[in-house]
Amino acid sequence: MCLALPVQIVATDPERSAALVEIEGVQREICTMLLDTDSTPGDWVIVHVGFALCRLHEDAARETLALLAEGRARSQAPGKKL
Amino acid sequence: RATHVTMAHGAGGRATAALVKEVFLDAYGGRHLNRLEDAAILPLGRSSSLDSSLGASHLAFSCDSFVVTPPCFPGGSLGRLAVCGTVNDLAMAGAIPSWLAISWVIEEGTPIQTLRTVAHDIATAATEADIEIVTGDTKVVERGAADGVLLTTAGVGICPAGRELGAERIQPGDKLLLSGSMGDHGMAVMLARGDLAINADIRSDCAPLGKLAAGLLTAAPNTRWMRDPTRGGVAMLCHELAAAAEHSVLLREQQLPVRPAVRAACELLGIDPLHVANEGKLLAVVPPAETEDALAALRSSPLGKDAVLIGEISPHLEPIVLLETPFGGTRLLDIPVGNPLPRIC
Amino acid sequence: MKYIDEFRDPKLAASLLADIHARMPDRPPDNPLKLMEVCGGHTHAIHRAGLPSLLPDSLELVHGPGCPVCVTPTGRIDDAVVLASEEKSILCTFGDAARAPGSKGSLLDAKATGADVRVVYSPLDALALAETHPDREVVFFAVGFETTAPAVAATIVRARRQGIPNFSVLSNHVLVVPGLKAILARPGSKLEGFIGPGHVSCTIGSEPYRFIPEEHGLPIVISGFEPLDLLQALLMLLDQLTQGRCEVENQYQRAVQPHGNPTAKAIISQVFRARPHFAWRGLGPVPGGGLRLRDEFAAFDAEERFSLPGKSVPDPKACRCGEVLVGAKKPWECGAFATRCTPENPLGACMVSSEGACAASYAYEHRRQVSWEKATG
Repeated sequence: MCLALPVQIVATDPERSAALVEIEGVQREICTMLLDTDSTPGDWVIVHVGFALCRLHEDAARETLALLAEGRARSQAPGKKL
Repeated sequence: RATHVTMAHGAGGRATAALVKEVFLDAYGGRHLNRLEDAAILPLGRSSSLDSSLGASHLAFSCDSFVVTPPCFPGGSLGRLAVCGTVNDLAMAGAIPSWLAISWVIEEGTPIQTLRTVAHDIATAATEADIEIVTGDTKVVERGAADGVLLTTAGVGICPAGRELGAERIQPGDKLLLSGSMGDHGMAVMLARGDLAINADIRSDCAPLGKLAAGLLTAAPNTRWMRDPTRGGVAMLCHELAAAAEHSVLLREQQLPVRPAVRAACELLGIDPLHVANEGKLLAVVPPAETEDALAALRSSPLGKDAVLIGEISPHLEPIVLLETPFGGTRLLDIPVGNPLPRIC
Repeated sequence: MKYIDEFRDPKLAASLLADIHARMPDRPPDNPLKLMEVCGGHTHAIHRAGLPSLLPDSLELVHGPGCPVCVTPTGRIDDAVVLASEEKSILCTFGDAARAPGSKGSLLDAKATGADVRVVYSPLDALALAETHPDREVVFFAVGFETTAPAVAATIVRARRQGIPNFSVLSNHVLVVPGLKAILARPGSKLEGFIGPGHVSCTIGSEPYRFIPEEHGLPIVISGFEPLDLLQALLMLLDQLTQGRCEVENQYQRAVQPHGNPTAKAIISQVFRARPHFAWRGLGPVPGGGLRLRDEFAAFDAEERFSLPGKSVPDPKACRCGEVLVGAKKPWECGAFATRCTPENPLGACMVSSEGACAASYAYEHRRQVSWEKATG
């Protein structure tokens, strides 16, 4: 459905809605038109067909990993339901 | 003096002679080629890399053709690819690569400088591989009938006595060794085309494997089978191995070496490194008892420093390739369909 | 944090697998618990990690219709082949779409007979080709769900802003919610829960799936694409089933927000409108199941600019993909499986993609008894 990959922004060009992203030394320019706020170098985004699809939130990622590490399923965390 | 190739260069007259002399002989001329005979007469008793004690009784003979876009890419070029590809086919058969023929098919209008670059790369690779270009040919075709330069080669190698490689000698429990990382060549060429607008420090691994193979066979004389995983990558080669050996091939994904940049480029494009071409790697099937010695021999050479045990031959008789994933699961490795292409799903 | 390796830790995977086996409701072998992973990307990630061989035998993952290439109807590929064969045109496509077979071959087959077909990584690459080839008609063969549609919409907006006249899009975009509704409307569905698509949900959020628990009483967990994501999402589904809960849960919290990406949603509705219905290969006509360019973007709509056969080529009668897609039939229970329908000439969607249910079975499942132990003797 959608091959997409976490990459890190290393440079931005807001006028052209463009950003240079990088993963393990592999670099490509992508378009940031689909992001609602300006991105800054260091941000992580999901890239799909040359576009930043959405931002990645490190706090949520660490929380997911913490739950995994405790061996408890995500659902048992209080108040996390929709 | 002409700056571009014209039909005259293909007519066999003065222009052809000038081209051959000023470009090909200038780059990789030698005792045999300089005679400009229609065939090279080659002494069987002596060879630049064979000492008489090996008592060769067989010749290895192979041919190949090469066209690559772009003709130059990080880590290699059409000329280097032509020599290494031919040399490696001979080396994988257990032979000592000795002599090569190279035939050029050139599109009208190709800059002479392009020919010089290709010829120079041929010469460098030939020296590295310790082989000699002994004969050749040149043809020019109308503009549009070919895409720049095509090279066709033939190679001859001496098979030292006592070296028998063949799938029929493979037995369950034999180990699979891979001499280094996967996917470097295919991804280097794909990114060098530029249309994907991806830049990465990925270089082709294009290299002659004659010495590496010789070292392996000396350290592990009972090596069963060797091949270089070119088009279709390690996946295609393992399917050919499973069919030839009539046994299942088991691979451990955790052991498969892939450079981080190659893995990242493959993940970005949805390509499996197992399906990507290599031009400077070998896969060897060795008996368990000789595995350590074989690995040590490979790792002692710069072309094999990352050599690793990646799997084994199963007693199971079905010719399939089974992959153990890092999570302990298993999956069947599919046969690549055509060239790897960027996919979205 | 690099967001990949951390979510591929084999130790954590082992503990998740242990939990899954421990909390698996017991089921007779002939009535396995059928959960659908909707997204083709999930199907691919599940197979690549070898998860089917590690999961309980009584848990069956049914591969959903979430591969945009596989559901693209044959008639649309035939239209693209016609377009590609026009003298002046350059037909750009994603790699996997280039291989999907129409009734007279794929786009790659057309390329072999002289059509100018180019594989691109991004729709922006197709727009760039239009800029550098002003004398040619560049057409982008657009496939994809709400993950890809915003990117194509943004490309069309940019083409209009830059005034590039020789660029157009043949839109085969499909929408996940209408597809899910079509599946749930099919009789004989044995599905008991869904692993929700990850990257589509980056765009549309998790809200749009509420109809699944509320109207169909089935749980859905939106998952990321790494093995730990998928295993954790499976565990969350099992917990809902065993704890009697039924709701939309979001395991992929690092990327998916409840309301998705407002900018992406806005640009989709700016450029596209839903078609009354759109045929999905294997499911037939899906109400509201596809997107078409709005009238004010007609200049960039290949269906407006070129006369296309536009024939709808119905799925062959023998094709049972519809039932396979809802888990009502196993691939080998379809009469055409592995006979008339093979990976080389697939009849239906489930055989087109290398991970479609039938393609996976053709290569993997019916050899599933070749487990590692048996192979290692």
